[in-house]
Amino acid sequence: MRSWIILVELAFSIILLTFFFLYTYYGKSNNYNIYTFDPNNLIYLNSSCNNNLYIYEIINLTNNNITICYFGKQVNSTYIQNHEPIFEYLYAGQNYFNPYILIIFG
Amino acid sequence: MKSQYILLATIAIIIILSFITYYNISPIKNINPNLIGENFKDQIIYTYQNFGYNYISNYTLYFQNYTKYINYNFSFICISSYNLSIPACNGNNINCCYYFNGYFFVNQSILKYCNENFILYNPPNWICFCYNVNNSNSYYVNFFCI
Repeated sequence: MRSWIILVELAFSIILLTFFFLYTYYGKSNNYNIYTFDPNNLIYLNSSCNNNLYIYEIINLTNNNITICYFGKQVNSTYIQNHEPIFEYLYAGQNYFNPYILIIFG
Repeated sequence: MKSQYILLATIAIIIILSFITYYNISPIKNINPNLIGENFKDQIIYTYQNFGYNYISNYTLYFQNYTKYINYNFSFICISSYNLSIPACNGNNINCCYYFNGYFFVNQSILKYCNENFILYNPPNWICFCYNVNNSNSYYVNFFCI
């Protein structure tokens, strides 16, 4: 009798874990770029972190500097470990030619 | 007892798989190729309008490295009356440019990816790009002139 209960519990946890697996597998890959950002509206985001609406990362390609802004505050990469990138764009520069990658996290 | 071991092994495998997918699915790999293509087009136009045509080759170089980094294949053919410092096309090479004086007949075999057939008559400033972005799942092809 006891072994039957264990079997049922195991089967139940397998079902749960399978759903978790499917969720991580499909959920993550489909969420990306669901949000339609207009790149023209995001060109003002820069490495001075003066925007407190977004969590974003700027990779400056001329000097390879990486800046992470967390709602207007400059932080290190540990702050964004649990966030997913939802938008990515390679800008040519703002006032002068200075290519950088912008990644917005959700 | 034997079936319990099988169940335990299954659980272990699912847990391991979940962790692997959780940490391995890089969402960067799932960017829509349309967005990458539009990114290229819009920023080439932006570069030309704001910084001048001599920065275009620099941007294409950064863009090629960027697409390689996110696991996409990106290639282009351009047609220009300016010398953009992009290598000139000869034979079957890609990521190159046709530079011309006078008139230029553009046919499909030249552009490779884009179905365009037209003649450019001694224009003062022509910069056209036909480009192709693809990964294993999908692709995006576009043609534009500045």
